[in-house]
Amino acid sequence: MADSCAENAAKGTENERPKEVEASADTVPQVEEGVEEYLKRKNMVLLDYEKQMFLDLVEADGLLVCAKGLSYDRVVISILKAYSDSGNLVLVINSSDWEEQYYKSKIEPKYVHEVASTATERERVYLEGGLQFISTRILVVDLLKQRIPIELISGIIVLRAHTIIESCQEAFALRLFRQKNKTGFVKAFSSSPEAFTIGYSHVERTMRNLFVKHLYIWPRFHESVRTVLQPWKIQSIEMHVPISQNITSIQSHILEIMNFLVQEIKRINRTVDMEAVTVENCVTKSFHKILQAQLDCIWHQLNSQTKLIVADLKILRSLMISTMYHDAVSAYAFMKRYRSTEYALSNSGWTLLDAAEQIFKLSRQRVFNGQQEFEPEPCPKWQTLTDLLTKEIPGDMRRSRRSEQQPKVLILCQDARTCHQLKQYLTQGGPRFLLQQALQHEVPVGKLSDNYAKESQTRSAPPKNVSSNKELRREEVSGSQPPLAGMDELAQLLSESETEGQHFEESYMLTMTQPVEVGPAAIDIKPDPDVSIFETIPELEQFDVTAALASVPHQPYICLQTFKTEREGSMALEHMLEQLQPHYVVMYNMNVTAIRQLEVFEARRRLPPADRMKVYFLIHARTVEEQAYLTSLRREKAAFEFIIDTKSKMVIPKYQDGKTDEAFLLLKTYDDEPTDENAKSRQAGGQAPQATKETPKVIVDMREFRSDLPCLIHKRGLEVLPLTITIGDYILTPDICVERKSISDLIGSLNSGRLYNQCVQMQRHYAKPILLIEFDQNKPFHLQGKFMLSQQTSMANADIVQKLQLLTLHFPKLRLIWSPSPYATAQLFEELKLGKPEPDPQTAAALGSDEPTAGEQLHFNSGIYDFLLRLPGVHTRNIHGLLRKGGSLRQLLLRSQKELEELLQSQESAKLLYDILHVAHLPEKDEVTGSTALLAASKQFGAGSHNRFRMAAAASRRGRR
Amino acid sequence: MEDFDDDSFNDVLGAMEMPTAAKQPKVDAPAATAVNPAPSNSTEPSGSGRPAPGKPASNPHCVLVHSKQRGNPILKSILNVPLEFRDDIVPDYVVGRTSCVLYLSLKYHNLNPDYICQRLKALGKMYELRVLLVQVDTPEPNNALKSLTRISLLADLTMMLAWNAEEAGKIIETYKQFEKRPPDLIMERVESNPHQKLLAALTNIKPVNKTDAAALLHTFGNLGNIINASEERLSQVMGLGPRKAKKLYKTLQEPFLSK
Repeated sequence: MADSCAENAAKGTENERPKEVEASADTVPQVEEGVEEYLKRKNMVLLDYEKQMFLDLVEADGLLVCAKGLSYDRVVISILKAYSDSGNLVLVINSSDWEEQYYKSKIEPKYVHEVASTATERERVYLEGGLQFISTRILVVDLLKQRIPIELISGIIVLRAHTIIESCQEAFALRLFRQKNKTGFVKAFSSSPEAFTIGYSHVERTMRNLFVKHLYIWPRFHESVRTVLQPWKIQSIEMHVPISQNITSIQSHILEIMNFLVQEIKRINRTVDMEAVTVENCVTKSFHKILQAQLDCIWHQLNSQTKLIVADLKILRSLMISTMYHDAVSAYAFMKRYRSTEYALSNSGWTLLDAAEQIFKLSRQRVFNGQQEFEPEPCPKWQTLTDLLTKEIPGDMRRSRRSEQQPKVLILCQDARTCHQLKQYLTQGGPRFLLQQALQHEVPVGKLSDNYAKESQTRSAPPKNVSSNKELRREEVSGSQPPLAGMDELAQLLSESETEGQHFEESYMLTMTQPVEVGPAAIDIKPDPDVSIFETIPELEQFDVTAALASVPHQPYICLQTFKTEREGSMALEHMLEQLQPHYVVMYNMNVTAIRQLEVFEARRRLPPADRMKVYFLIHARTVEEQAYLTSLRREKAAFEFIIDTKSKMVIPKYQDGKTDEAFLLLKTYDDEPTDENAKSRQAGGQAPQATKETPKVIVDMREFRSDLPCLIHKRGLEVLPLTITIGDYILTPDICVERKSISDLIGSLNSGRLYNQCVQMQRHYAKPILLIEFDQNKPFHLQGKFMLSQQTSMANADIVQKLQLLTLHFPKLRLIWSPSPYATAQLFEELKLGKPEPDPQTAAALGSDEPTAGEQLHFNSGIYDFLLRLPGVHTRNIHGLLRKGGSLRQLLLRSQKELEELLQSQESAKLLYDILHVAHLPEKDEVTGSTALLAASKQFGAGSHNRFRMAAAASRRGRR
Repeated sequence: MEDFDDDSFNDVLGAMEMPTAAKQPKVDAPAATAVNPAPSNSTEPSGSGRPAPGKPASNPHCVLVHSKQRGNPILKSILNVPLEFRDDIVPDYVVGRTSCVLYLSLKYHNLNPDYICQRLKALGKMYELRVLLVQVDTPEPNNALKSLTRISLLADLTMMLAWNAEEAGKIIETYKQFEKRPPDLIMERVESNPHQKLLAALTNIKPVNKTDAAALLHTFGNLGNIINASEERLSQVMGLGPRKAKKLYKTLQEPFLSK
């Protein structure tokens, strides 16, 4: 099978070449025919546009950008299957956990290898070929150390290509790969077109970092995609749900405040480009990314008022979402949190506006009625959902003559919280659920309104006991004991809320207990329509869909699911669709990706119109929800148009794929351009003889490959030698040792004392120790935090600077480098190495280990120095006198306490040192267990030796007395 | 014009490399000894040829400030340390017998790139800790900081950054206050219990771990007996093999001063 597959691939290649030479009109259909046969044999069913994607990528390496929901996963699987062979070595990098699991499950296990933890094992696995899902950091180290045979790599597949930037590990790995391998492929995939519009010329830079020359763009409005999806269009029904007056008012007031804050930001920062900060963008989900891209580079220049406004815009967006999608009680509890005195002191002042007062008042009105009684309003979509499940769908089943089948409904929500909310609503009923929420959120429920108590009482009654139900109703009508009923209800829910956990699942399965039948039985149900007919299925625990379906063969089946889950990402929806094959889908929230996935799923099934899915959209028309959905559609379209326009104007050098040596020569020249002309000419003159001799080297500690700096050092033409060294992080020359600290590392190391020890080691073994304080490129070049909200922050920062100064006082030869970004650091390293000798890897590895260095010329012996410094009574001020006159530890034992006092210049220190040398100290209570074990162990040596040493200790004690 | 300036800049930097080589032997000492500052202090005044008897002795608790720095706004932030203005000091601030500070604003450096080189020529080899206090007051400090970093590395300067005048003043004040402070603030915290201290001290010897240290103390009773034990006796303790025993014995019998 493998051999025939390889032969077929070879034949395909041979067939393609003469046809290209002939340039006949029959080339395309014949090639497509061959691929179709190949795909059939591989048991792959692709849509037409997916075949085209596959063909494009097989023909030439490239970057494929497709719309969300038109997943490229089947194309990736086809490529992986084509190269599933022992003679091929294919690496997949930059995949998330769920992507890796998904692709592994689709490929034959024989060709998929787990990444081994030891270097020797990995070396063996590489030679076996097949497919490897590997961490990029491990790959980089293996490439640098020549553990992986670079010439034998068939190709690299890069997922989530929009995250490839110049300084990341993936670009580093690809550059190492292309420098030695000119024949392997590079194929990159991305389903995030918006990401390419952020930053300067993102598309071109990504393609250059990936070493690809072709860009394939697949938006939803692509002609091929439209042709494939149009005939199998899903039956979509939009149901416009009106929202309550309170929600509308709250929404408009929040928008009013947001508009005010946006105007305020623009007024304060006239010189800053704030084009993307609009009310419309504040509402969308990706507002954080837009804001981060625009403001982070100048964050340290903004005043505190701007920073507070940005934080408040995020809070207001949360309030908007809470008002729209959460229940009234949760929204009220969330709102109350921002009406406190502490928050009023620390925000930008929006809580003082009239609109804010209106928001607080209306939020409360949704929960309490005019007489301050607890009567929360239900979510607007709840009733529509119930009508759908109990009337519309059963009616449709009857009309379409599918009554003998088991109806299957899939309800899609945007997050786990909404899933949980709907599950509770369907199984418990709205009033009961809302009362429970009030108790959980500690909203004071002083008194239940009469209507509310009646509804709650009715819903909690058992549905089958008709006679008792009538009796209860008769009691309520008489009105003899309504307060007592409310009290019982509260007590009941209090006990329930204590046991209920707060964990939100991403998927729930329900069924309806009473089948809807036409006939005399239906008449009995009608008088009591509010009784809950939904219950959960026990097989929920195993997430076994087939078992759940089998357990309720004749009852309707309802599945609640989020658009994407943590375990399976966006593949969870496709997985559920394949297993469930639902007849009806309810879109409780709007999501572009999910709609596309439903369309693609229907196109694959190719069912006649009567058998297709019916999709119900629950939309609040002319509201923020609809606006957010339309905005996301428009932004995706704009992103694709931007990419298409960029592609039409793109200039790609023919060496960009890295398959000729021109690319790397020109890369070095390109690297020299940012420096000034004089530096460039000087470096060029200096580099010319050096290039013929050898490449400059930098020794990098193995743990440093988690950061961006080794990649950027390599990009500037320096050779990176990965090594496990105990002193320092980078060795530039035999004299220069660099310890790199990011800001958080610096704070941690100064506080724990680790940095002091590291500086002691560096100073002892290197002539020029350097402490590199490296700021992140996208973070402010500032030691202060982003929000000066409290006095504590300011004091903490001053403390860090003081400790840094104390460090420089005690290590006068330690140099500090303040680097604003890893790019600047790499540039500085290159300049520091000019005209200097190269570091020796063996010497660097030997330093700090157990073996003493031959050339060690310390004034004091370091071992005994470090030992003495930790004894009680010895510290940095008196240790030098002790070392000069003490002689050795044995001589120290012979001295009296008086003589020690002269050496240490302190009576107290002398006593401490004398006691530690001559007196036995017992361990504390928590060490008794360990001592017992040691005692048992020491008995094995024999009682004789133990007694002898005990007598020696006693004699020593008597001598002291 | 610019090319000529850069060439002279390189010559100055080349000249600056000479003092660096002369200072290398000092790296052998783990820390400055108490006796060392006195000779260097006596050497420097005679080296500069200043008339020492004519000047009154400075107050050791004062920060010596050059008179040119009178108008500097950072002086307002130096609150807890007294100031004394002098004309006869070479650096801008003297914060200790072996420590000094040169102050530089990035705005001024961008306007006068050669200013810092002239100051370094005048400073020569004086002072053991030479701090270049840079106030970052420009929106794009990257290029200027890069050149200042190179100057600092070549001329043995320690560069500290401050983002406003208040921070800069605080740094000078802290250097004076910390002049004689031991490094305990940035060292590891040690347990106060004597047994814990002994465990930590023994664990500091390279191959010995905490379990070995506890076994040693239990077997021998006190530190004196461990020091007096033979290598063979040490290797009989549970958990210590011949390699560990040899290393431990060698460290404990090591003389304090190297030969």
